[in-house]
Amino acid sequence: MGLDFNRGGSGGFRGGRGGGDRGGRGGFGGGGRGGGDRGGFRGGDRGGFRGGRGGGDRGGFRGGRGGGDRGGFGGRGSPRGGFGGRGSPRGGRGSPRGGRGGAGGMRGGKTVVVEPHRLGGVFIVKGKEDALATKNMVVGESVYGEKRVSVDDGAGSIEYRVWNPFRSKLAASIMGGLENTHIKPGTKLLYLGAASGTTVSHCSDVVGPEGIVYAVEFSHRSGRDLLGVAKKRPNVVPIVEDARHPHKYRMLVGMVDVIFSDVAQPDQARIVALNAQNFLRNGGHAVISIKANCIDSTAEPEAVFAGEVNKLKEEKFKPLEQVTLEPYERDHAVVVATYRPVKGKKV
Amino acid sequence: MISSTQYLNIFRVSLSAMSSDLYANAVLYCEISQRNPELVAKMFNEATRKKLDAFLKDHEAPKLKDIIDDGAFKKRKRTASTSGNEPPSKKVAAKESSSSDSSDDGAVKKNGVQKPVAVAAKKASTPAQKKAASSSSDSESDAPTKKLTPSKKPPQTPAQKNAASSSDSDDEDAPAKKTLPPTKIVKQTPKKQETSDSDSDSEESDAGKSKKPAAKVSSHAVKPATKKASSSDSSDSDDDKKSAPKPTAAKATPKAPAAKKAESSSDDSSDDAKKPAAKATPVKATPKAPAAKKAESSSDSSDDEKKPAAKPTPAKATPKAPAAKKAASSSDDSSDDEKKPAAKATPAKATPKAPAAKKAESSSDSSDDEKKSVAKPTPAKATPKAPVAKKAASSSDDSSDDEKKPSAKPTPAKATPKAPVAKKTASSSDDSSDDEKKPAAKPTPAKATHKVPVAKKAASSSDDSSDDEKKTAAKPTPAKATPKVPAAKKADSSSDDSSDDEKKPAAKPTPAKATPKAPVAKKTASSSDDSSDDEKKPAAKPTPAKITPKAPAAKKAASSSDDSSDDEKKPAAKPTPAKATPKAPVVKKAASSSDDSSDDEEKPAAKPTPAKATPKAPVAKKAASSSDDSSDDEKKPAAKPTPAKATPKAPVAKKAASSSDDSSDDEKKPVAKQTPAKVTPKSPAAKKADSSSDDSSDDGKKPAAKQTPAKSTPKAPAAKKADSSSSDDSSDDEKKPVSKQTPAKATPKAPVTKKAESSSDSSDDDEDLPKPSKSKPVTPRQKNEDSEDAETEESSSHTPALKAKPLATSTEKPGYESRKRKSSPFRRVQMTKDSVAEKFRNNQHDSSFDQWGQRANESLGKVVGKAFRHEKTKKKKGSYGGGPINQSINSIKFSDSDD
Repeated sequence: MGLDFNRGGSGGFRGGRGGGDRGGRGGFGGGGRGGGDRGGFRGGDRGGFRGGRGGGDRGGFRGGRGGGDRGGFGGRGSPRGGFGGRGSPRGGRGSPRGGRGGAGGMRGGKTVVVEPHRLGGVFIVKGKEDALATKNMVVGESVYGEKRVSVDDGAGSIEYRVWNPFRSKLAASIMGGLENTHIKPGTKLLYLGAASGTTVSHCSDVVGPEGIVYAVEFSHRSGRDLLGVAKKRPNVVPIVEDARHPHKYRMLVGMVDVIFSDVAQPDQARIVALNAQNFLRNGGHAVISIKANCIDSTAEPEAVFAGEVNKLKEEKFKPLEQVTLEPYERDHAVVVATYRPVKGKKV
Repeated sequence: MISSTQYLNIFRVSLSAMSSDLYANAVLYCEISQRNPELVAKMFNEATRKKLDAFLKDHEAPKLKDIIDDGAFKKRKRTASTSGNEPPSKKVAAKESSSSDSSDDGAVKKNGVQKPVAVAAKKASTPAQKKAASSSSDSESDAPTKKLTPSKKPPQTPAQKNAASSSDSDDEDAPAKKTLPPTKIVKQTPKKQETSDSDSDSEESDAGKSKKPAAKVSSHAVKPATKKASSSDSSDSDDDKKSAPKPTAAKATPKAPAAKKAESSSDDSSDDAKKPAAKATPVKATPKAPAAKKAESSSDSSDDEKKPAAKPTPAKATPKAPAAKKAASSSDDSSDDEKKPAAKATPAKATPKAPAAKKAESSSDSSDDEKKSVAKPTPAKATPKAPVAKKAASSSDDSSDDEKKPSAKPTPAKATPKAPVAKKTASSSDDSSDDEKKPAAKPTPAKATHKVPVAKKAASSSDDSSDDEKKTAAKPTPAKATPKVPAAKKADSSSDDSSDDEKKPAAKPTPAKATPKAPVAKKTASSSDDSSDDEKKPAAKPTPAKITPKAPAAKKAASSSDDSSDDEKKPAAKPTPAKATPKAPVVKKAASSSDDSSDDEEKPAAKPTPAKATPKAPVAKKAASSSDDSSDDEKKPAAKPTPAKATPKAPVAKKAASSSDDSSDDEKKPVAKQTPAKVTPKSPAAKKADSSSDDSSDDGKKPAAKQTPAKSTPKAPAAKKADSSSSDDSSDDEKKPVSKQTPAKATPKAPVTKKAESSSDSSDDDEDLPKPSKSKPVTPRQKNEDSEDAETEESSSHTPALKAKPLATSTEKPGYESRKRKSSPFRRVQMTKDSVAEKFRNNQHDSSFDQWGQRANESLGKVVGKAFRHEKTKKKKGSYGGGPINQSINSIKFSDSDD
């Protein structure tokens, strides 16, 4: 029961923190973890705290419910179905969680088919509306409030996280028809400009347990969220450093197959080149998202892209393909290039 | 009446005794001393001054006004000519430009062909003298003098026509004249008529010197009231003429200008073309319009100038009287070298030249008469050129003239005369008209020219063509025809005219300038003034016609007081290019005895530089530089060619281009390295050493020029000039301008200076450095002014405008570039979308491929900035659905070639 209480408390706590996605996430994560070990201690604190606040607020409200839910959750009770359906604002967020349960319950009646995309590790959820998705590495958890879709193939349920191209440039590039991101299960990926880790979480899903994602983010605020993602995903190595100084994290990063860059810096090509020199294997690939306005807002985007491509060429990259991110991003393009291509070996 | 033979003899004597330069110098000397004593020292060396003083003691200083007044004759001439003088005059005129005089004389004498001339000389003598620049006639005897002068003139003309200047005396003989006259007659006849008219006028107005003042007054008056004044001027001029032929010329010029120049020119033309004045009148009308315009604006200045000029003329006339021969020669010389005078030493040369000139002058005179009986100087100038042309290769010259600048050379001469006359007499407008008119056919030509000028204004090329056509067709035609023919002496005069016409046409500016210069030199009364006048006039003319405005404006602006400015300008050279040129020439003349000789000869060549130079330059340029040289001066041919060329070039450049041309040239050069012309010029310049090369270049250029006379020609001339001075200069100019940021002005200046230097160098080589230097500076300034004026002024002035424009553009370009560099914002990406491969040029959403994003594209595609972010945020909520997802490949592949 203590556990339940705790969870309930944690739930209440979360509710109290409220609105922010991240905050919610953090709380969520904390709650999740806390579960067994500290449950009592923490739960007590939080519970009390919450309780103090808690009269009529929804925090309290939830907490109250949460207790029950969690308890139930812990017990993994069905009641949750209703619950999941319920929390809408957070709901979006909550929904994943509840969604899981709810999904079964709510969408149970619907026919949802998940098909693999031509790109390894990427799936398409076919329903009323198609959606890009990745197989959730951490079942039952949503990283940034994305929807989760669980499919029961009979052997067990498989959970997919919807990958929103408006949130991820990599997803947008896939939507744009990129031939190959070169990110597939087992890929060692150096991710420059990881930010909060939303896309990193999907990459983590794609590369799977065999692969690894080195996520470099220079912003501590964003890095904090990134750490949260990395805590649940064993294949994510968070690096809060400046991508311009690869030597600072050289001891953390091994040889990689692909570098994904979303740094949006004027010297992006140089940054990519530096990291490629340090970590990218010969014949490896670089997937570079170019934001024209970050390089030269006065120039024509097409010209900027061409200019960046030229820079990459100077850095021993061989450009392979380019795709626009319209309409998901404005004046963006993704360029895929191979680094020091090996002769005779197809990229 | 003195028999024609007597006159001839006297004339010969006078020719031998004095160089025409002396007379011209005397006129110039007087004018300058009156206006700006300080300049005298600069312009004339001590020896020259002494000579001039001595000369002046014996002879009354000719006054430009008198010379200018000749133009007035025309009207009177008409009346007079109608009386019966015309027929004789025609004959005489046919023979020579002085024919008018002769006609007058002829009326009186009507003896042999010569007689007409002589007669013309008598009455017209004043005019003739003025025209012929042989005040010698005047010197010979006040009244007689006139006769003598005419006589001289006629002889001269014949001589010129007949053969070289040397042979002139012999040729001068009645027979020669007769022979020549006939041929000439056709062309000259008109002239004679005019001259006769003028003569008659002069005769009528025998009053004497008093006329001069009157003429001046009239000229002034004319200025105010172009037409009326012109008419009055003409009358005045007639009076003046009576007293002194020059006045007549002056009057004529004034009238023409005042009346619109056309009148004078028309008279001339009418006389020339048709003895009956009928044509003249019409012609006049045409000219007037242009002239009037110019005249009005520039008329004042020109009047002022003219007045001085006129005065000189009278002076010349007197001088002539004293020393008939000397006068003759001196007159020629004086006319040729009023400025050159320097060339006392030259006298010999000058004389020869003068004689030649005179002979030519006779023809020139006739032309002068026709033209307006330009002052003697004019004739002298004209003559020189004509003679030269004749001498060198009358045929060649003529042909060259007709075809190319050669004509220009002659033209210059003629032009000069006309121009001078016009300038002197009338306001700048008159000058311009005169110049143009004069050049064309002296009288008729003049008209034609005027028309041409107009045409030129419209289109320089048109001018050329028109000139040519006119010449050939109307008065010009005869003249041209003759000139072309080489053989015909008359042709020479006519050729001169034609050349003038051509020149004018070729480069309006050039012609104008050339003319002005030539006139100036010849007229001399105030060589500087004249030159300035000429320049101004040309400019002015151009203005009216083409760019005249600019030139005029420049002139006006530069020298509201042309006279003062002229004097000053000469030293300073500030005034128009013309002035500069004149100065240079003057300096040269004064400076070196050789100059003198050269002057005489050179006058056409060197001094003339302005005038002559132009001619020479043109000639050289044209094709037969050698021919030019020979033509210019028998003497010149040898050393002169080079010098002449050099000098001419500088001057020519300036002159050729006329102020406007010059400016245009300068501008163009500087501005446009671009211009082929420049390039060519350079090469030509280098070649200049080799006249042939120059000629070739000239030829090529000229043709072009003709079509676009103003621009092409000017450039070529300018280039040539610069080249002549020094190819480096031209190149420098061009380069400098280009390199230099400053557009027109700055560049021009720099170029100018350089040019000036180079020109000065060249001139130095040939002539004296000092003057060249002055001239050079001036040129630049002038050019600048011109350019400025041009810019400021109407675009109508094609040449100027063009020139100016080029400059401006050129200048602008550099500036623009520099600005761009300076002001251009920092750009990481220098390339443009256009430089990107076609397949990468479209970064837009491909709705045909991505159906899922189509809906988003519809909502996001039309929003920007904050709205876009807002819309996008809504899409992030996860409520967005776009239907089926296309899994196919839609990326743009880089080909291996793209690597």
